[in-house]
Amino acid sequence: MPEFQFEGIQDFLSMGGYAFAVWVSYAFFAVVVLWSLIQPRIERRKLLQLHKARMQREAGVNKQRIKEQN
Amino acid sequence: MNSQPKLLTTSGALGAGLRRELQLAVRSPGNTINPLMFFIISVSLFPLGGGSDSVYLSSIAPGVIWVTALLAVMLSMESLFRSDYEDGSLEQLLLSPQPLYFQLLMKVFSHWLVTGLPLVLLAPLLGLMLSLPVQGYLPLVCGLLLGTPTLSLIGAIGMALTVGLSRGGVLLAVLVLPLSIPVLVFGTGVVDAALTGQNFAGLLALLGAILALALSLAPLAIGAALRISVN
Amino acid sequence: MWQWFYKLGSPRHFYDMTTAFLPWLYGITFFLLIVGLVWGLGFAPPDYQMGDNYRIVYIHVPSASIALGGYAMMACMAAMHMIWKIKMADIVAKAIAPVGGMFCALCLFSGSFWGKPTWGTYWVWDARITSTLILLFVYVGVAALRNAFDSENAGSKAASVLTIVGIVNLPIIHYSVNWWNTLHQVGSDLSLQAEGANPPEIWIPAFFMGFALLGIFLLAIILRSRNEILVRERRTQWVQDLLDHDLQEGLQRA
Repeated sequence: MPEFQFEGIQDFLSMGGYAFAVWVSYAFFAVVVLWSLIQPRIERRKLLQLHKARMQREAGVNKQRIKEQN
Repeated sequence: MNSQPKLLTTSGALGAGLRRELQLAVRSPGNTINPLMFFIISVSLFPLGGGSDSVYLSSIAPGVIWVTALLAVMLSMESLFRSDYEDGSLEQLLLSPQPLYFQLLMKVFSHWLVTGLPLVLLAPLLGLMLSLPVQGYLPLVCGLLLGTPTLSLIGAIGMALTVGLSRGGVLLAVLVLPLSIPVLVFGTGVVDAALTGQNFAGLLALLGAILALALSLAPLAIGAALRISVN
Repeated sequence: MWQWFYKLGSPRHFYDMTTAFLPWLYGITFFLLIVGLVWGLGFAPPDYQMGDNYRIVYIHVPSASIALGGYAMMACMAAMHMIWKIKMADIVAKAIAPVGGMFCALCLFSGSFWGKPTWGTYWVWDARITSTLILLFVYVGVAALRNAFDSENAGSKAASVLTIVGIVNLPIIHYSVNWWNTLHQVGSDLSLQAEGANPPEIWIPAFFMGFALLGIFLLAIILRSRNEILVRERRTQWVQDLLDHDLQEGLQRA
Protein backbone atom coordinates (compact mmCIF):
# COMPACT_ATOMS: atom_id res chain seq x y z
CA MET A 1 0.00 0.00 0.00
CA PRO A 2 1.47 3.38 -0.95
CA GLU A 3 1.87 5.85 1.87
CA PHE A 4 1.66 9.63 1.99
CA GLN A 5 5.03 11.01 0.92
CA PHE A 6 4.94 14.32 2.78
CA GLU A 7 5.15 15.30 6.44
CA GLY A 8 2.11 17.48 6.97
CA ILE A 9 0.28 19.90 4.71
CA GLN A 10 3.09 22.48 4.70
CA ASP A 11 5.52 19.96 3.30
CA PHE A 12 2.94 18.83 0.74
CA LEU A 13 2.39 22.40 -0.48
CA SER A 14 6.11 23.03 -0.82
CA MET A 15 6.43 20.01 -3.18
CA GLY A 16 10.06 19.36 -2.31
CA GLY A 17 11.02 22.85 -3.48
CA TYR A 18 9.15 22.65 -6.78
CA ALA A 19 5.98 24.29 -5.45
CA PHE A 20 5.79 27.01 -8.12
CA ALA A 21 6.24 24.72 -11.13
CA VAL A 22 3.94 21.98 -9.86
CA TRP A 23 1.12 24.18 -8.59
CA VAL A 24 1.09 26.52 -11.59
CA SER A 25 0.89 23.51 -13.91
CA TYR A 26 -1.91 21.94 -11.90
CA ALA A 27 -3.70 25.29 -11.70
CA PHE A 28 -3.66 25.51 -15.50
CA PHE A 29 -4.86 21.92 -15.59
CA ALA A 30 -7.75 22.90 -13.29
CA VAL A 31 -8.60 25.79 -15.61
CA VAL A 32 -8.67 23.43 -18.60
CA VAL A 33 -10.88 20.93 -16.77
CA LEU A 34 -13.29 23.60 -15.55
CA TRP A 35 -13.42 25.27 -18.96
CA SER A 36 -14.02 21.92 -20.66
CA LEU A 37 -16.92 21.01 -18.41
CA ILE A 38 -18.48 24.34 -17.43
CA GLN A 39 -18.34 26.25 -20.71
CA PRO A 40 -20.69 23.80 -22.50
CA ARG A 41 -23.10 24.01 -19.55
CA ILE A 42 -23.20 27.81 -19.76
CA GLU A 43 -23.77 27.47 -23.49
CA ARG A 44 -26.62 25.06 -22.83
CA ARG A 45 -28.21 27.41 -20.33
CA LYS A 46 -28.07 30.19 -22.95
CA LEU A 47 -29.82 27.91 -25.44
CA LEU A 48 -32.57 27.23 -22.92
CA GLN A 49 -32.95 30.96 -22.20
CA LEU A 50 -33.25 31.64 -25.93
CA HIS A 51 -35.88 28.96 -26.23
CA LYS A 52 -37.76 30.39 -23.26
CA ALA A 53 -37.69 33.88 -24.74
CA ARG A 54 -38.96 32.57 -28.05
CA MET A 55 -41.79 30.66 -26.39
CA GLN A 56 -42.83 33.75 -24.44
CA ARG A 57 -42.68 35.90 -27.56
CA GLU A 58 -44.83 33.44 -29.46
CA ALA A 59 -47.28 33.23 -26.57
CA GLY A 60 -47.48 37.03 -26.52
CA VAL A 61 -48.11 37.18 -30.27
CA ASN A 62 -50.87 34.59 -29.96
CA LYS A 63 -52.55 36.52 -27.14
CA GLN A 64 -52.47 39.69 -29.20
CA ARG A 65 -54.01 37.86 -32.14
CA ILE A 66 -56.84 36.58 -29.99
CA LYS A 67 -57.42 40.09 -28.68
CA GLU A 68 -57.51 41.51 -32.20
CA GLN A 69 -59.95 38.87 -33.32
CA ASN A 70 -62.31 39.73 -30.45
CA MET B 1 -16.12 28.87 -91.88
CA ASN B 2 -17.19 25.98 -89.68
CA SER B 3 -20.82 26.03 -88.74
CA GLN B 4 -20.17 23.79 -85.75
CA PRO B 5 -18.38 25.31 -82.75
CA LYS B 6 -14.87 24.04 -82.56
CA LEU B 7 -14.17 21.93 -79.49
CA LEU B 8 -11.17 23.03 -77.55
CA THR B 9 -8.64 20.34 -76.71
CA THR B 10 -7.34 20.26 -73.16
CA SER B 11 -3.90 21.44 -74.16
CA GLY B 12 -5.44 24.18 -76.24
CA ALA B 13 -7.55 25.33 -73.33
CA LEU B 14 -4.57 25.28 -71.00
CA GLY B 15 -2.50 27.28 -73.49
CA ALA B 16 -5.25 29.85 -73.88
CA GLY B 17 -5.63 30.06 -70.10
CA LEU B 18 -1.91 30.55 -69.64
CA ARG B 19 -1.88 33.33 -72.25
CA ARG B 20 -4.80 35.00 -70.50
CA GLU B 21 -3.10 34.85 -67.10
CA LEU B 22 0.13 36.28 -68.45
CA GLN B 23 -1.70 39.04 -70.29
CA LEU B 24 -3.55 39.95 -67.10
CA ALA B 25 -0.25 40.04 -65.24
CA VAL B 26 1.26 42.38 -67.85
CA ARG B 27 -1.74 44.69 -67.68
CA SER B 28 -1.70 45.00 -63.89
CA PRO B 29 2.00 44.94 -63.06
CA GLY B 30 1.33 45.92 -59.44
CA ASN B 31 0.40 42.35 -58.61
CA THR B 32 3.90 41.29 -59.62
CA ILE B 33 5.86 44.27 -58.40
CA ASN B 34 4.33 44.76 -54.95
CA PRO B 35 5.34 41.35 -53.52
CA LEU B 36 8.82 41.91 -54.96
CA MET B 37 9.06 45.32 -53.31
CA PHE B 38 7.87 43.77 -50.06
CA PHE B 39 10.60 41.14 -50.41
CA ILE B 40 13.36 43.71 -50.95
CA ILE B 41 12.17 46.16 -48.30
CA SER B 42 11.64 43.65 -45.54
CA VAL B 43 15.00 41.98 -46.18
CA SER B 44 16.71 45.37 -45.95
CA LEU B 45 15.02 45.96 -42.58
CA PHE B 46 17.00 43.16 -40.96
CA PRO B 47 20.41 44.89 -41.08
CA LEU B 48 18.72 48.08 -39.84
CA GLY B 49 17.07 46.28 -36.96
CA GLY B 50 19.66 43.67 -36.10
CA GLY B 51 23.01 45.27 -36.91
CA SER B 52 25.06 45.53 -40.08
CA ASP B 53 27.98 43.38 -38.97
CA SER B 54 28.79 41.22 -42.00
CA VAL B 55 29.56 38.05 -40.01
CA TYR B 56 26.23 38.32 -38.23
CA LEU B 57 24.41 39.12 -41.47
CA SER B 58 25.88 36.17 -43.34
CA SER B 59 24.84 33.87 -40.51
CA ILE B 60 21.20 34.95 -40.69
CA ALA B 61 21.07 35.50 -44.48
CA PRO B 62 19.58 32.13 -45.54
CA GLY B 63 16.86 32.28 -42.90
CA VAL B 64 15.99 35.91 -43.58
CA ILE B 65 15.76 35.43 -47.34
CA TRP B 66 13.67 32.29 -46.99
CA VAL B 67 11.27 33.68 -44.40
CA THR B 68 10.68 36.89 -46.33
CA ALA B 69 10.26 34.94 -49.59
CA LEU B 70 7.65 32.82 -47.83
CA LEU B 71 5.80 35.91 -46.61
CA ALA B 72 6.04 37.55 -50.05
CA VAL B 73 4.51 34.48 -51.69
CA MET B 74 1.66 34.54 -49.16
CA LEU B 75 1.04 38.24 -49.87
CA SER B 76 1.04 37.65 -53.62
CA MET B 77 -1.69 35.00 -53.24
CA GLU B 78 -4.33 37.71 -53.07
CA SER B 79 -4.02 38.17 -56.85
CA LEU B 80 -4.40 34.45 -57.60
CA PHE B 81 -8.16 33.99 -57.22
CA ARG B 82 -9.53 37.30 -55.92
CA SER B 83 -10.34 39.11 -59.18
CA ASP B 84 -11.48 35.88 -60.85
CA TYR B 85 -13.79 35.33 -57.92
CA GLU B 86 -15.22 38.82 -58.15
CA ASP B 87 -15.87 38.84 -61.90
CA GLY B 88 -17.25 35.29 -61.99
CA SER B 89 -14.58 33.69 -64.13
CA LEU B 90 -13.73 31.37 -61.26
CA GLU B 91 -17.21 29.93 -61.52
CA GLN B 92 -16.68 29.47 -65.25
CA LEU B 93 -13.44 27.65 -64.53
CA LEU B 94 -15.21 25.25 -62.17
CA LEU B 95 -18.01 24.66 -64.70
CA SER B 96 -15.76 24.23 -67.73
CA PRO B 97 -15.58 20.77 -69.30
CA GLN B 98 -11.76 20.79 -69.16
CA PRO B 99 -10.18 18.79 -66.29
CA LEU B 100 -10.12 21.05 -63.27
CA TYR B 101 -6.94 19.48 -61.91
CA PHE B 102 -4.85 20.67 -64.85
CA GLN B 103 -6.64 24.01 -65.08
CA LEU B 104 -5.72 24.72 -61.47
CA LEU B 105 -2.14 23.55 -61.98
CA MET B 106 -1.92 25.92 -64.96
CA LYS B 107 -3.31 28.79 -62.89
CA VAL B 108 -0.90 28.26 -60.01
CA PHE B 109 1.99 27.77 -62.44
CA SER B 110 1.26 31.00 -64.31
CA HIS B 111 0.92 32.82 -61.00
CA TRP B 112 4.26 31.40 -59.89
CA LEU B 113 5.82 32.53 -63.19
CA VAL B 114 4.94 36.16 -62.50
CA THR B 115 5.43 36.24 -58.71
CA GLY B 116 7.57 33.30 -57.55
CA LEU B 117 10.14 33.26 -60.32
CA PRO B 118 11.06 36.96 -59.96
CA LEU B 119 11.64 36.31 -56.25
CA VAL B 120 14.03 33.48 -57.12
CA LEU B 121 15.91 35.68 -59.57
CA LEU B 122 16.11 38.53 -57.10
CA ALA B 123 17.33 36.40 -54.19
CA PRO B 124 21.06 36.42 -55.15
CA LEU B 125 21.02 40.22 -55.11
CA LEU B 126 19.63 40.21 -51.60
CA GLY B 127 22.17 37.54 -50.66
CA LEU B 128 24.84 39.98 -51.78
CA MET B 129 23.38 42.70 -49.56
CA LEU B 130 23.40 40.29 -46.60
CA SER B 131 27.02 39.19 -47.25
CA LEU B 132 26.08 35.63 -48.11
CA PRO B 133 29.32 33.70 -48.84
CA VAL B 134 29.96 32.71 -52.48
CA GLN B 135 29.22 29.01 -52.07
CA GLY B 136 25.71 29.84 -50.81
CA TYR B 137 24.25 31.32 -54.01
CA LEU B 138 23.73 28.22 -56.11
CA PRO B 139 22.01 26.25 -53.31
CA LEU B 140 19.91 29.30 -52.43
CA VAL B 141 18.61 29.69 -55.97
CA CYS B 142 18.14 25.95 -56.52
CA GLY B 143 16.30 25.64 -53.21
CA LEU B 144 14.04 28.59 -53.97
CA LEU B 145 13.40 27.22 -57.46
CA LEU B 146 12.12 23.98 -55.98
CA GLY B 147 10.57 25.51 -52.87
CA THR B 148 8.60 28.54 -54.08
CA PRO B 149 6.27 26.46 -56.35
CA THR B 150 5.40 24.37 -53.27
CA LEU B 151 4.74 27.55 -51.31
CA SER B 152 2.51 28.78 -54.15
CA LEU B 153 0.57 25.52 -54.13
CA ILE B 154 0.09 25.55 -50.35
CA GLY B 155 -0.78 29.24 -50.46
CA ALA B 156 -3.30 28.52 -53.22
CA ILE B 157 -5.10 26.05 -50.92
CA GLY B 158 -5.35 28.74 -48.24
CA MET B 159 -6.41 31.36 -50.79
CA ALA B 160 -9.06 29.05 -52.22
CA LEU B 161 -10.44 28.50 -48.72
CA THR B 162 -10.58 32.21 -47.87
CA VAL B 163 -11.41 33.80 -51.25
CA GLY B 164 -15.11 34.06 -50.38
CA LEU B 165 -14.40 35.89 -47.13
CA SER B 166 -14.32 39.67 -47.06
CA ARG B 167 -11.41 39.78 -44.62
CA GLY B 168 -9.39 36.71 -45.45
CA GLY B 169 -5.91 38.27 -45.54
CA VAL B 170 -4.65 37.63 -42.01
CA LEU B 171 -6.55 34.36 -41.81
CA LEU B 172 -4.70 33.17 -44.92
CA ALA B 173 -1.38 33.65 -43.12
CA VAL B 174 -2.64 31.83 -40.00
CA LEU B 175 -3.74 28.87 -42.10
CA VAL B 176 -0.83 28.62 -44.47
CA LEU B 177 2.32 29.58 -42.56
CA PRO B 178 2.33 26.53 -40.25
CA LEU B 179 1.85 24.24 -43.24
CA SER B 180 4.82 25.72 -45.11
CA ILE B 181 7.31 24.99 -42.32
CA PRO B 182 8.89 21.91 -44.01
CA VAL B 183 9.79 23.95 -47.10
CA LEU B 184 11.34 26.64 -44.92
CA VAL B 185 13.31 24.11 -42.86
CA PHE B 186 14.74 22.23 -45.82
CA GLY B 187 15.22 25.38 -47.90
CA THR B 188 17.42 27.04 -45.30
CA GLY B 189 18.97 23.65 -44.62
CA VAL B 190 20.22 23.47 -48.20
CA VAL B 191 22.06 26.79 -47.87
CA ASP B 192 23.39 25.99 -44.41
CA ALA B 193 24.68 22.63 -45.63
CA ALA B 194 26.48 24.31 -48.52
CA LEU B 195 28.01 26.94 -46.22
CA THR B 196 29.40 24.28 -43.90
CA GLY B 197 30.80 22.34 -46.86
CA GLN B 198 28.34 19.45 -46.75
CA ASN B 199 26.59 17.79 -49.63
CA PHE B 200 23.25 19.48 -50.17
CA ALA B 201 21.94 17.35 -53.05
CA GLY B 202 19.94 15.13 -50.69
CA LEU B 203 18.12 18.11 -49.22
CA LEU B 204 17.35 19.45 -52.68
CA ALA B 205 15.91 16.03 -53.50
CA LEU B 206 13.72 16.29 -50.39
CA LEU B 207 12.48 19.71 -51.53
CA GLY B 208 11.77 18.14 -54.92
CA ALA B 209 9.88 15.29 -53.27
CA ILE B 210 7.73 17.75 -51.31
CA LEU B 211 7.07 19.64 -54.55
CA ALA B 212 6.03 16.41 -56.28
CA LEU B 213 3.67 15.59 -53.43
CA ALA B 214 2.23 19.10 -53.50
CA LEU B 215 1.82 18.97 -57.30
CA SER B 216 -0.13 15.75 -57.06
CA LEU B 217 -2.32 16.52 -54.04
CA ALA B 218 -2.68 20.31 -53.75
CA PRO B 219 -4.84 20.77 -56.90
CA LEU B 220 -7.39 18.36 -55.41
CA ALA B 221 -7.57 20.39 -52.20
CA ILE B 222 -7.66 23.68 -54.16
CA GLY B 223 -10.53 22.37 -56.28
CA ALA B 224 -12.52 21.20 -53.26
CA ALA B 225 -11.90 24.52 -51.50
CA LEU B 226 -12.91 26.60 -54.53
CA ARG B 227 -16.16 24.65 -54.86
CA ILE B 228 -16.97 25.57 -51.25
CA SER B 229 -16.03 29.22 -51.70
CA VAL B 230 -17.91 29.75 -54.95
CA ASN B 231 -21.19 28.30 -53.70
CA MET C 1 -22.76 -3.44 -33.73
CA TRP C 2 -23.01 -1.79 -37.16
CA GLN C 3 -26.52 -0.67 -36.44
CA TRP C 4 -25.31 0.98 -33.27
CA PHE C 5 -22.62 2.75 -35.27
CA TYR C 6 -25.04 3.93 -37.94
CA LYS C 7 -27.38 5.24 -35.29
CA LEU C 8 -24.60 7.40 -33.86
CA GLY C 9 -24.57 9.17 -37.22
CA SER C 10 -28.02 10.54 -36.54
CA PRO C 11 -27.94 13.62 -34.30
CA ARG C 12 -31.09 12.57 -32.49
CA HIS C 13 -29.77 9.13 -31.65
CA PHE C 14 -26.41 10.56 -30.67
CA TYR C 15 -28.21 12.89 -28.29
CA ASP C 16 -30.33 10.13 -26.78
CA MET C 17 -27.44 7.71 -26.45
CA THR C 18 -25.17 10.25 -24.80
CA THR C 19 -27.99 11.20 -22.42
CA ALA C 20 -27.92 7.64 -21.13
CA PHE C 21 -24.14 7.38 -21.28
CA LEU C 22 -23.11 10.72 -19.75
CA PRO C 23 -23.72 9.97 -16.03
CA TRP C 24 -21.49 6.89 -16.34
CA LEU C 25 -18.76 8.85 -18.07
CA TYR C 26 -18.96 11.58 -15.42
CA GLY C 27 -18.74 8.99 -12.66
CA ILE C 28 -15.82 7.06 -14.12
CA THR C 29 -13.92 10.24 -15.03
CA PHE C 30 -14.25 11.82 -11.61
CA PHE C 31 -13.33 8.57 -9.89
CA LEU C 32 -10.20 8.26 -12.03
CA LEU C 33 -9.38 11.95 -11.61
CA ILE C 34 -9.65 11.95 -7.83
CA VAL C 35 -7.69 8.71 -7.40
CA GLY C 36 -5.09 9.90 -9.92
CA LEU C 37 -4.69 13.33 -8.34
CA VAL C 38 -4.42 12.10 -4.76
CA TRP C 39 -2.13 9.26 -5.67
CA GLY C 40 -0.02 11.19 -8.14
CA LEU C 41 0.39 14.32 -6.02
CA GLY C 42 0.58 12.81 -2.57
CA PHE C 43 1.32 9.11 -2.54
CA ALA C 44 3.60 8.34 -5.46
CA PRO C 45 7.23 8.43 -4.32
CA PRO C 46 9.38 11.32 -5.61
CA ASP C 47 11.57 10.59 -8.61
CA TYR C 48 15.18 9.92 -7.65
CA GLN C 49 16.43 12.50 -10.18
CA MET C 50 13.68 15.08 -10.63
CA GLY C 51 12.28 15.02 -7.11
CA ASP C 52 8.68 16.15 -6.82
CA ASN C 53 8.82 18.17 -10.04
CA TYR C 54 8.10 15.03 -12.07
CA ARG C 55 4.51 15.12 -10.78
CA ILE C 56 3.80 17.57 -13.63
CA VAL C 57 4.39 14.67 -16.02
CA TYR C 58 1.08 13.19 -14.84
CA ILE C 59 -0.78 15.93 -16.72
CA HIS C 60 1.86 16.67 -19.34
CA VAL C 61 2.09 13.29 -21.08
CA PRO C 62 -1.66 12.52 -21.25
CA SER C 63 -2.40 16.00 -22.61
CA ALA C 64 0.20 15.48 -25.34
CA SER C 65 -1.35 12.16 -26.38
CA ILE C 66 -4.84 13.66 -26.35
CA ALA C 67 -3.76 16.68 -28.41
CA LEU C 68 -2.26 14.36 -31.06
CA GLY C 69 -4.99 11.73 -30.94
CA GLY C 70 -7.64 14.43 -30.94
CA TYR C 71 -6.31 15.79 -34.22
CA ALA C 72 -6.37 12.32 -35.77
CA MET C 73 -9.94 11.92 -34.57
CA MET C 74 -10.88 15.33 -35.99
CA ALA C 75 -9.34 14.35 -39.33
CA CYS C 76 -11.36 11.09 -39.38
CA MET C 77 -14.51 13.08 -38.67
CA ALA C 78 -13.62 15.59 -41.40
CA ALA C 79 -13.08 12.76 -43.89
CA MET C 80 -16.40 11.15 -42.94
CA HIS C 81 -18.07 14.51 -43.38
CA MET C 82 -16.48 15.09 -46.79
CA ILE C 83 -16.97 11.57 -48.18
CA TRP C 84 -20.29 10.40 -46.74
CA LYS C 85 -21.74 13.82 -45.83
CA ILE C 86 -22.41 12.65 -42.27
CA LYS C 87 -23.58 15.77 -40.43
CA MET C 88 -22.85 14.26 -37.02
CA ALA C 89 -19.19 13.78 -37.95
CA ASP C 90 -18.89 17.50 -38.62
CA ILE C 91 -20.60 18.35 -35.33
CA VAL C 92 -18.00 16.27 -33.48
CA ALA C 93 -15.15 17.75 -35.55
CA LYS C 94 -16.33 21.24 -34.65
CA ALA C 95 -16.36 20.27 -30.97
CA ILE C 96 -12.85 18.81 -31.08
CA ALA C 97 -11.00 21.84 -32.50
CA PRO C 98 -11.12 24.15 -29.44
CA VAL C 99 -10.84 21.33 -26.90
CA GLY C 100 -7.88 19.74 -28.69
CA GLY C 101 -6.23 23.15 -28.92
CA MET C 102 -6.73 23.67 -25.20
CA PHE C 103 -5.11 20.30 -24.37
CA CYS C 104 -2.26 21.22 -26.71
CA ALA C 105 -1.80 24.46 -24.78
CA LEU C 106 -1.93 22.53 -21.49
CA CYS C 107 0.79 20.22 -22.79
CA LEU C 108 3.06 23.14 -23.76
CA PHE C 109 2.32 25.08 -20.57
CA SER C 110 2.93 22.20 -18.17
CA GLY C 111 5.99 21.20 -20.19
CA SER C 112 7.58 24.59 -19.90
CA PHE C 113 6.96 24.77 -16.14
CA TRP C 114 8.44 21.31 -15.82
CA GLY C 115 11.40 22.36 -17.98
CA LYS C 116 12.31 25.46 -15.95
CA PRO C 117 13.66 23.60 -12.87
CA THR C 118 14.85 20.63 -14.95
CA TRP C 119 16.70 22.30 -17.83
CA GLY C 120 16.88 25.82 -16.41
CA THR C 121 14.75 27.33 -19.15
CA TYR C 122 11.06 27.65 -19.95
CA TRP C 123 11.46 27.11 -23.65
CA VAL C 124 13.75 24.96 -25.76
CA TRP C 125 13.46 24.54 -29.53
CA ASP C 126 13.33 20.81 -29.13
CA ALA C 127 11.78 18.81 -31.98
CA ARG C 128 8.84 17.53 -29.99
CA ILE C 129 8.08 20.91 -28.40
CA THR C 130 8.24 22.64 -31.78
CA SER C 131 5.97 20.04 -33.38
CA THR C 132 3.45 20.46 -30.57
CA LEU C 133 3.54 24.23 -31.02
CA ILE C 134 2.82 23.83 -34.74
CA LEU C 135 0.00 21.41 -33.92
CA LEU C 136 -1.47 24.16 -31.75
CA PHE C 137 -1.19 26.61 -34.68
CA VAL C 138 -3.03 24.17 -36.93
CA TYR C 139 -5.80 23.68 -34.35
CA VAL C 140 -6.17 27.45 -34.08
CA GLY C 141 -6.23 27.77 -37.88
CA VAL C 142 -9.00 25.17 -38.25
CA ALA C 143 -11.14 26.83 -35.58
CA ALA C 144 -10.49 30.32 -36.98
CA LEU C 145 -11.38 29.28 -40.52
CA ARG C 146 -14.68 27.77 -39.41
CA ASN C 147 -15.59 30.89 -37.45
CA ALA C 148 -14.73 33.17 -40.36
CA PHE C 149 -17.62 31.87 -42.47
CA ASP C 150 -21.12 33.26 -42.07
CA SER C 151 -22.67 30.17 -43.54
CA GLU C 152 -22.50 27.15 -41.25
CA ASN C 153 -22.37 24.79 -44.20
CA ALA C 154 -19.50 26.50 -46.02
CA GLY C 155 -17.56 26.85 -42.76
CA SER C 156 -17.94 23.13 -42.07
CA LYS C 157 -16.69 22.10 -45.47
CA ALA C 158 -13.79 24.56 -45.46
CA ALA C 159 -12.71 23.39 -42.00
CA SER C 160 -12.92 19.76 -43.18
CA VAL C 161 -10.68 20.47 -46.17
CA LEU C 162 -8.15 22.27 -43.99
CA THR C 163 -8.20 19.49 -41.39
CA ILE C 164 -7.44 16.89 -44.06
CA VAL C 165 -4.69 19.05 -45.59
CA GLY C 166 -3.31 19.33 -42.06
CA ILE C 167 -3.23 15.58 -41.43
CA VAL C 168 -1.30 15.06 -44.69
CA ASN C 169 1.10 17.82 -43.74
CA LEU C 170 1.65 17.10 -40.04
CA PRO C 171 3.89 14.02 -40.53
CA ILE C 172 6.02 15.99 -43.00
CA ILE C 173 6.24 18.88 -40.55
CA HIS C 174 7.15 16.47 -37.78
CA TYR C 175 9.86 14.87 -39.92
CA SER C 176 11.27 18.22 -41.03
CA VAL C 177 11.34 19.57 -37.49
CA ASN C 178 13.11 16.41 -36.31
CA TRP C 179 15.75 16.85 -38.99
CA TRP C 180 16.10 20.55 -38.20
CA ASN C 181 16.52 19.74 -34.54
CA THR C 182 19.42 17.35 -35.12
CA LEU C 183 21.05 20.06 -37.24
CA HIS C 184 20.69 22.73 -34.54
CA GLN C 185 21.49 20.44 -31.64
CA VAL C 186 20.28 22.04 -28.43
CA GLY C 187 22.57 19.89 -26.34
CA SER C 188 20.27 18.62 -23.64
CA ASP C 189 18.94 15.13 -23.38
CA LEU C 190 15.23 15.70 -23.37
CA SER C 191 13.95 12.18 -23.43
CA LEU C 192 12.15 10.44 -20.62
CA GLN C 193 13.75 7.15 -21.50
CA ALA C 194 13.91 6.13 -17.86
CA GLU C 195 10.16 5.55 -18.01
CA GLY C 196 10.64 1.83 -18.55
CA ALA C 197 12.56 1.61 -15.33
CA ASN C 198 9.92 3.46 -13.34
CA PRO C 199 8.39 1.40 -10.50
CA PRO C 200 4.65 0.69 -10.53
CA GLU C 201 4.08 3.21 -7.72
CA ILE C 202 4.90 5.88 -10.30
CA TRP C 203 3.20 4.55 -13.41
CA ILE C 204 -0.07 3.32 -11.91
CA PRO C 205 -1.17 6.86 -10.98
CA ALA C 206 -0.06 7.89 -14.49
CA PHE C 207 -2.47 5.30 -15.84
CA PHE C 208 -5.29 6.76 -13.73
CA MET C 209 -4.49 10.32 -14.79
CA GLY C 210 -4.22 9.33 -18.45
CA PHE C 211 -7.71 7.87 -18.51
CA ALA C 212 -9.05 10.73 -16.38
CA LEU C 213 -7.83 13.28 -18.95
CA LEU C 214 -9.24 11.17 -21.76
CA GLY C 215 -12.56 11.14 -19.91
CA ILE C 216 -12.51 14.93 -19.56
CA PHE C 217 -11.72 15.30 -23.25
CA LEU C 218 -14.58 12.99 -24.22
CA LEU C 219 -16.97 14.73 -21.82
CA ALA C 220 -16.06 18.10 -23.29
CA ILE C 221 -16.60 17.05 -26.90
CA ILE C 222 -19.83 15.19 -26.09
CA LEU C 223 -21.25 18.18 -24.20
CA ARG C 224 -20.24 20.54 -27.00
CA SER C 225 -21.66 18.23 -29.66
CA ARG C 226 -24.95 18.03 -27.79
CA ASN C 227 -25.22 21.82 -27.69
CA GLU C 228 -24.38 21.99 -31.37
CA ILE C 229 -27.11 19.43 -32.12
CA LEU C 230 -29.64 21.58 -30.26
CA VAL C 231 -28.57 24.62 -32.33
CA ARG C 232 -28.54 22.92 -35.72
CA GLU C 233 -31.72 20.90 -35.22
CA ARG C 234 -33.57 23.67 -33.40
CA ARG C 235 -36.40 23.68 -35.95
CA THR C 236 -37.22 20.01 -35.49
CA GLN C 237 -40.05 18.92 -33.27
CA TRP C 238 -37.93 16.65 -31.08
CA VAL C 239 -35.55 19.47 -30.13
CA GLN C 240 -38.50 21.78 -29.39
CA ASP C 241 -40.07 19.12 -27.17
CA LEU C 242 -36.77 18.43 -25.48
CA LEU C 243 -36.17 22.10 -24.73
CA ASP C 244 -39.72 22.47 -23.42
CA HIS C 245 -39.20 19.49 -21.18
CA ASP C 246 -35.84 20.73 -19.91
CA LEU C 247 -37.24 24.18 -19.26
CA GLN C 248 -40.05 22.74 -17.16
CA GLU C 249 -37.60 20.60 -15.22
CA GLY C 250 -35.50 23.67 -14.56
CA LEU C 251 -38.51 25.69 -13.47
CA GLN C 252 -39.64 23.00 -11.09
CA ARG C 253 -36.23 22.88 -9.53
CA ALA C 254 -36.03 26.66 -9.18
